[in-house]
Amino acid sequence: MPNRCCCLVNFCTMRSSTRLLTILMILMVSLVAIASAIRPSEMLVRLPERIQSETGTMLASMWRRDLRAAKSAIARIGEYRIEAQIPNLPAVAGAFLYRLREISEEIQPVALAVLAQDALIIAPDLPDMYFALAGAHMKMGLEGIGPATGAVIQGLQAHLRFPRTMIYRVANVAFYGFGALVLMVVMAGAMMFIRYRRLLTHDISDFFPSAPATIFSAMDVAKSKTAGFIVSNGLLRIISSAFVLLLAVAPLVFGAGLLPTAVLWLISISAYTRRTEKLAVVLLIGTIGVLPIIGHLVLLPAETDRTPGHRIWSCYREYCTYEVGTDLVRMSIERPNDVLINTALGNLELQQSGNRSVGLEAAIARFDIGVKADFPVAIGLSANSHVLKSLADCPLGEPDKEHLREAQRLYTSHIDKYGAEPAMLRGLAIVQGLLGERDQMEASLTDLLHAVNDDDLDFVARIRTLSGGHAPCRQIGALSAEIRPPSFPDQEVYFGNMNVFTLPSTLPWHGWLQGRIPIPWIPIISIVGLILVMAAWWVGKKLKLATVCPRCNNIVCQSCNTRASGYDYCPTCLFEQVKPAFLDPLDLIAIQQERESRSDLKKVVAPILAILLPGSGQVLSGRPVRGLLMLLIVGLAVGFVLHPASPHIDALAYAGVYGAELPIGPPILLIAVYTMTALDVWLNREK
Amino acid sequence: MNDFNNMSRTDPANQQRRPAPPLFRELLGAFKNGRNGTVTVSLDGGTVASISIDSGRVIQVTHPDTDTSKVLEILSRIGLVGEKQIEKATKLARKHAITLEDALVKAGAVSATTLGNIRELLAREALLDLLMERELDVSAVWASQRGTRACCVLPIPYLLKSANKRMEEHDDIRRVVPSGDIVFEKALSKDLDGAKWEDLKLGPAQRQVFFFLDGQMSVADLGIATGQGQFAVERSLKSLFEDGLVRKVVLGDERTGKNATRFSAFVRALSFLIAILIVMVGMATVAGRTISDPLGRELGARDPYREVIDDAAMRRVLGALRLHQLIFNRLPDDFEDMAAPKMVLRSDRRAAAMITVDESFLFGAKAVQVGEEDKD
Repeated sequence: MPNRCCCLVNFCTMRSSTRLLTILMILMVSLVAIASAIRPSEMLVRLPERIQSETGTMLASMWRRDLRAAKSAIARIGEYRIEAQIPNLPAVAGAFLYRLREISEEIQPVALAVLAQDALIIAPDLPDMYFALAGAHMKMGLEGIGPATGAVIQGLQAHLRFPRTMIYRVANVAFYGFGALVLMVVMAGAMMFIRYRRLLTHDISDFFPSAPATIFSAMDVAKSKTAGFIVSNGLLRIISSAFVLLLAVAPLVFGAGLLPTAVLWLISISAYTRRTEKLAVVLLIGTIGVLPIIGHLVLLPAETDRTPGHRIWSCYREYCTYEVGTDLVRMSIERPNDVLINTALGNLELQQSGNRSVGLEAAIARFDIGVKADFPVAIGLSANSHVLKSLADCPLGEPDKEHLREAQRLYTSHIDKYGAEPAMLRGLAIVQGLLGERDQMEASLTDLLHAVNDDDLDFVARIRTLSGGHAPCRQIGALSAEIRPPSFPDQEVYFGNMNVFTLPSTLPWHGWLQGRIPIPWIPIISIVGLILVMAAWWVGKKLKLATVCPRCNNIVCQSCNTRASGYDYCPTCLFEQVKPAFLDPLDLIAIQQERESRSDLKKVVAPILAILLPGSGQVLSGRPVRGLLMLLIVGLAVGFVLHPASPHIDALAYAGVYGAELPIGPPILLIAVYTMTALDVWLNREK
Repeated sequence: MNDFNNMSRTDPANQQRRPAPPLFRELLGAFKNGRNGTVTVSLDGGTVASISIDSGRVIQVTHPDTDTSKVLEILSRIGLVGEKQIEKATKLARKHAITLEDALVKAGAVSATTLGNIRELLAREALLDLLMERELDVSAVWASQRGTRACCVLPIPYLLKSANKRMEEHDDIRRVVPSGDIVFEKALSKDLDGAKWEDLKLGPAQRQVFFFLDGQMSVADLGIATGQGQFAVERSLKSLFEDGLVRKVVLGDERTGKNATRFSAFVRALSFLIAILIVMVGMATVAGRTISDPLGRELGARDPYREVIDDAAMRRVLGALRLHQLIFNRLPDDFEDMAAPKMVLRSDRRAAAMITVDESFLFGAKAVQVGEEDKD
């Protein structure tokens, strides 16, 4: 009788080798299902052929340490880029930066700086290029500090023109900052709560009528020997401590999450805090309110990468590939009259045209939608396209006058409506030169000289020469290299209608931070918390809550003081003033020592905590400012250790992982913070 | 000595032409004649008190009010010694065959100075009480006191002068403080009308008594608590009473106080019960829920932040693929082609292995196995 098999396939009757193969096949198929599928186009860098070729030459020359050849290749890449109307080549820049880091230790700092300076032409709007230049200058020593600072400033300014890098950078800072801030607020909140738990317990126990919360005098000690006292006082202590414990833990257990619970901790102890601690409480609660926004910044690149604004912006600021174009065409079908989409598609046609008539005509057709809508970028780009079209068509060996007139009209219109922009004055001067209007060209060039603040003024001579030549159509490449795109509203287009400072739907760590509380409530809780903290300060002054007697370190409060002696005066200290005459001072010292042994425990615990987690012990000891600073630094260092490479990576301007495997930052930060805490513990050992 | 010789002219006995109390006469005689020996006093109930005199000073007083139990009572009342310490000291005393008091000192529960002071206080108070008694049967044996253990050092002139003074003040004080059982309380309101301790215009003794007044301690109790002795407390109370700072707690007030105390205890017990109930319910509810329960909904949900970290490896690999293609004009053959020239991190191996292009793994099935092993 054959074996009955319950499998869909006849698995049980298979040979073992076949069975193993089948298992592997099933495994593979299931893995493919969960694996990350990417489009082949995503792996390939598509660039104009000449640029691709020169990029290879540049990288190979750098690998050979042939800097002269590398510089020549860089210059050619720049030239081709401008001719092709491509504002930036981030992929080439990324490859350059990768190679630069690879060879930076082996070439002279000055040569390195010159190479980095020359390479700016590859991607003049990419901030990383300026930072690489700053790094190269820094290798020159003290004399490089000035130029490096200048490069850093330029790099920072470049972020405005290259919002993708800005967003990635902000998101990376937010990523590391978020973890560090969470560590800071939770640990500092917990430590402050522990620091003041005795006062809180004392005041809670004061709710019970006539309950002696603290044993003050020797007479009270005598009373405390009675069974009734022991039972009632023990019960009171247990109940008070249980209330404090409930206050500390219950919100977390009931799903309030760590952040709202920390707010509660801080509110409950705020009335007892000293001035600097009050500042720390406000800072911590404020930070909790801001954390969701920081959390959203962490997720921002994933959001912006999917927006149409990113595609449109990319098509304008980078080399616009057909893959991006396909997405844009899909969008244009949905919104055929969208000015931004059509202008981006026009730019795609312009970049891909290779200064050929058909492509330029398609570009002009796309730009026309924007021109009709009076979109300045479309006007400027359309004017540029008309100039190139006139040179591309070149009827009778002369530039097409009709297109030149149209270009002149568009340039003039742009200048009249939106001011004398250098790119437009430049185009106008070229058009006027090609039309033979030399006087007007000179006037435009004069205006251009007033408008630009560039040290390199050679372009004036080039424009005069090229536009006044006998066969300008043969100079189409050189002339197109003199044409510049109009200014572009990078931020507005990139972000579109997106609100950067909105709130995310969740926070990290599976809801541990916010619990079941909706994220929008957290800033509200923070604001309410701040109001309650201020109310607690005011009420605390009125109620005269428990304090620590500065002389004997006992906890005292007005009600207990008056109950004990009739006076609002620490009864322990008062007893020492009226102690029985027969009492030996040595016995009083012994009592005092026993009392202080409790604070001795704190003296031991705080340094241990300070060493285990720098900052926590400092907050516990009442030094919140340095404590918060240390916790923040530790949080950052731990974040860098756990994630040495930044989580947000611009794959389109990727430059490898040099320095990410063994980052120098975290060890330096950790050494610094442990040195700080060791010094702090040593200097405050007697306090 | 000359001053004391004149005492007979100034003492109340001479002034009022009444005979001096018997013990007073005996001590005066011993001092005047320079006698050493033991004076024995018969007390009520068949007990006796003995007073050892040596070189004009009383060096030992044996009296029911000076025995070890009284010393322990004071030590216990002022909170220096607890039951556990007494038990410990008792064992120590048995073990080393020493007195309980010495054992307490040896155990470190109390210093020898404090103990000596308490003994002297008890001896002085007992002696001064006896010195004022007129109906006493006193006998003396005059012999050398060499070898007698000195428990106190009370000069006879000081004792006689103190007794003399007390006798002078006795009647006035008794008018205010009829007995040691009476209870006084502060005449001001509970919070002393906002008066500050520092502003009290009182002498040290009065200030001390005033501090300990709580409307519950008797005058005798106050004597022990302050360490001044009962008569000194009575003297301070008389002064405070005359200044209007204290008042007597009369019988009715005591009842009211007891009732108030009972009511307070009842309210306290009730509040304890309510608090226990709240805490129990709170704790039970907390214990009944696990932390993961309220967050369970979130635990299963996707974490976009985790995805950021996971995607980072994928983006690095993608960037490295583009970089490799740009540099070498071809895709890498395997992961090592990217890892060795530091295009990716070694930890990105799994992400690289999981990349599929057109439904097949970029680096082949072998890389997937290696990637899975890395994950493990």
